[in-house]
Amino acid sequence: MGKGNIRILALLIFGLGVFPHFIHSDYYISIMIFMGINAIIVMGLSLLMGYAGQISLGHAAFYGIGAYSSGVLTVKFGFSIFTAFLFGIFLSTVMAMAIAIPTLKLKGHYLAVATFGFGQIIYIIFNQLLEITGGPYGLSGIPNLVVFGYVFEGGTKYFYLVWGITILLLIFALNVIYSRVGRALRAIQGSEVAAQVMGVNVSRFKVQIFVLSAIYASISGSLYAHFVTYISPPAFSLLVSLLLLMMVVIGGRGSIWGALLGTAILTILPEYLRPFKDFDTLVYGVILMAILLFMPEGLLNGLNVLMKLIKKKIISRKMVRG
Amino acid sequence: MVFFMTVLKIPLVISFFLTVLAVAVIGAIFERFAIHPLRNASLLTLIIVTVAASILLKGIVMFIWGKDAYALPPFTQGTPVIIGGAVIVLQAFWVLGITLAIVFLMALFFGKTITGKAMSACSFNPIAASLMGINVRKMTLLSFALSAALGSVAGIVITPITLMEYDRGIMLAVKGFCAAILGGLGLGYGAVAGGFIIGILESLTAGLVHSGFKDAIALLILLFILCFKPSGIFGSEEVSKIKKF
Amino acid sequence: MTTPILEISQLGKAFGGLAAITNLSFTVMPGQIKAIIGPNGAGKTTLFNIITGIFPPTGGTVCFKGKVINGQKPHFIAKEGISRTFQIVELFGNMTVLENVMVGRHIRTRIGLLRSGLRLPGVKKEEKSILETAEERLNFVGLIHKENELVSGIPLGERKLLEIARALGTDPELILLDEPAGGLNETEMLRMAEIIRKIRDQRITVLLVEHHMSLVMSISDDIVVLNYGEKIAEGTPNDIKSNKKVIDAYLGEDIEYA
Repeated sequence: MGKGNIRILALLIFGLGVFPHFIHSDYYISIMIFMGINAIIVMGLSLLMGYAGQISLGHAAFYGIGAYSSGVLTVKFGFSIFTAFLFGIFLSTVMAMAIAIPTLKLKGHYLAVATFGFGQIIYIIFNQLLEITGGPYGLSGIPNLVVFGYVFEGGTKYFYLVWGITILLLIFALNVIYSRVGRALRAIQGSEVAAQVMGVNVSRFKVQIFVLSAIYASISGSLYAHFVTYISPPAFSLLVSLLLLMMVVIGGRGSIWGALLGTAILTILPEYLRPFKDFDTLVYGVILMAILLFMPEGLLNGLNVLMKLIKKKIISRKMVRG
Repeated sequence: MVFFMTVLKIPLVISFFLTVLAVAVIGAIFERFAIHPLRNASLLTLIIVTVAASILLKGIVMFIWGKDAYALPPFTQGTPVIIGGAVIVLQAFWVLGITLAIVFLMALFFGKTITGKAMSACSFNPIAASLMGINVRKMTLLSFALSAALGSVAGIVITPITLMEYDRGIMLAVKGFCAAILGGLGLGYGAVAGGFIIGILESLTAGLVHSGFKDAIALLILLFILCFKPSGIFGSEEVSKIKKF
Repeated sequence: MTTPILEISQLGKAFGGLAAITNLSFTVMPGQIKAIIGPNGAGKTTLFNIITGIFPPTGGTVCFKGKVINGQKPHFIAKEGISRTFQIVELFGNMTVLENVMVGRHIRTRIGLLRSGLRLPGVKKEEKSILETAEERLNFVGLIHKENELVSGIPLGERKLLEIARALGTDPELILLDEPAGGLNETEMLRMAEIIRKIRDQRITVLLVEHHMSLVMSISDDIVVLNYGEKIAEGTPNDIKSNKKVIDAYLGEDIEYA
């Protein structure tokens, strides 16, 4: 995995571990929980987009499938939390394969459009199946998460649960990146034809990684459902899909750490903009545009470049001074 | 349009052209500030930028005009016409008429004028086009301004029938996009055909199945077409392969 | 007497109305270095694309080790034992030199998504073997000192060698080299010729497309000449040098006789 990554990972785990000891406010803990939930789905997207070079404009659909599976099966049909959770993963896997297999021969724009279409259709289904999903009125009464009899009711306990899962999934993702599979994915992005000729079964890998990212999204959705206990379609709309995309791109597309950075920023930013009231959409748009225009490769790379520039300036100044 | 007509009390026809011009300018500004600086960036970044820009524009619109729906009076007053049991509002004829006029104009533009042909050339191969002396930058700017103008025309003609709020744009744009792909990208008659097919299927779904699902029809058709014939009904596979869509 | 390792029979490829290859037949014997030459547009890269499965022929067959392979997917053909380099270098620009060669080991290794992610036992061992073999290949072409550099930072001559190292990572029995000397200077060309001979010494058959006549004449055992997608001559370097049809085809072309 690389020593650098292990160090960052250790730092992250440590930071998260002590966070609740210093910050007791429920509000901040909630934000962090949302950040963790977002991080999971964004990591999956990062693998899909940053490493395999594919696009998905409808990923909120899988997020929704996970959430509604967990919600509907527990509330309406009395299934156990764990079964509902697994069903969400199963359904997401099936749908992901149904989408990926016919569309993988599509390139760039066409693939983006297809995933967008899929996302929209699922969103409409959520809205229309009144008896099952509650339609626009939403689904409430989703039980709190219970694992082996231990009840996770909001707050600190949920924080540790969510971030625990996030870290595990992060480790899984890093393992994949630094493996034969990870190299194959990056090869596909680097030059698809060369990858094929070197023996990479491009279609199979594209489907696999799409399914993996859908599973990550489903897990995320289930965690979300049990946390907020009330879900409704707007949480899984196109806007959300695009927001997730932005989290990947803003942080830095080619790196999973960039994706996490993007998640952190775009989860916290709307909270900071709340006091702006009607301006919030405006300011939000402005900030996003600014980042994209000045650092199109994402913040991580942008900061990197900035650091190099600063170093250069310092060195050249030293030389002038003699 | 509402602003020009109701607030400034400018007559219909002049308002129409003023509005279209204004929107075209906005489209050009958008291109200059958001698209042009990123012309070498990846597809994904461009998608994100247009999304961010649309959030920004929506914010501006919401700020200026609020979240209420606005109405426009129909272009000609009069009672709806009844043809074979179907009730057709007069405005509908305007919509059809203007659409046909635009398709005709676009066909003329792209088929017969130098500027139009230059623009097509850029879509096929911008490098070769620039080597032939075509100013690709100007073309890109023009294409954004043009498509913005067309979008505004669509918005204007439909408002007397359906009203307009600040966030209606997305669904219309999406369906328009589906229609374009269904008919074959870049083909005027394709888009019209696609639009009709989607519109008819939507109404049928609303009537026969469930009105809530009608929005999904356009998208299902889209997915269907992409899986089986991405070049659309009238498009040719070879051409769409060469085009760097 | 041995069977040919590669047999092209009456191969044809048309793109719409354009016939890129017409009725092409030739064989390659195991252990040979066979060259394909011909003016630009003669269909040489198209031939390579067909052999490696990038697109199927419109007629005829390609037989590798007695098995018909035309119509198969590239990754299948790679597994069978054919590897290649590209006329315009197709390296993985987003990875380091070493990682590029490691991708070459892909078909000879097996660990998939789940096992990699969970880092199950066996992953570490396979990674180690991939690393070692990749380093061997880099050593073979003389690039081991640049293993951790990004591809974007190395010059063309070395990129061509890197592509070869990567192609050798698949343990091929037949390697297709598409203009390996393209864009190289004198010294680099001599180094390339040496590498190609070394490849043949490893009992790997070489089929190459090349424009630099000096290179072709000095290392090939056999030459096939194409013009407008058809074979116009086949034989040893000496035969080809004095073949009238070949000279006619090249008239007006830039021939680099060293």
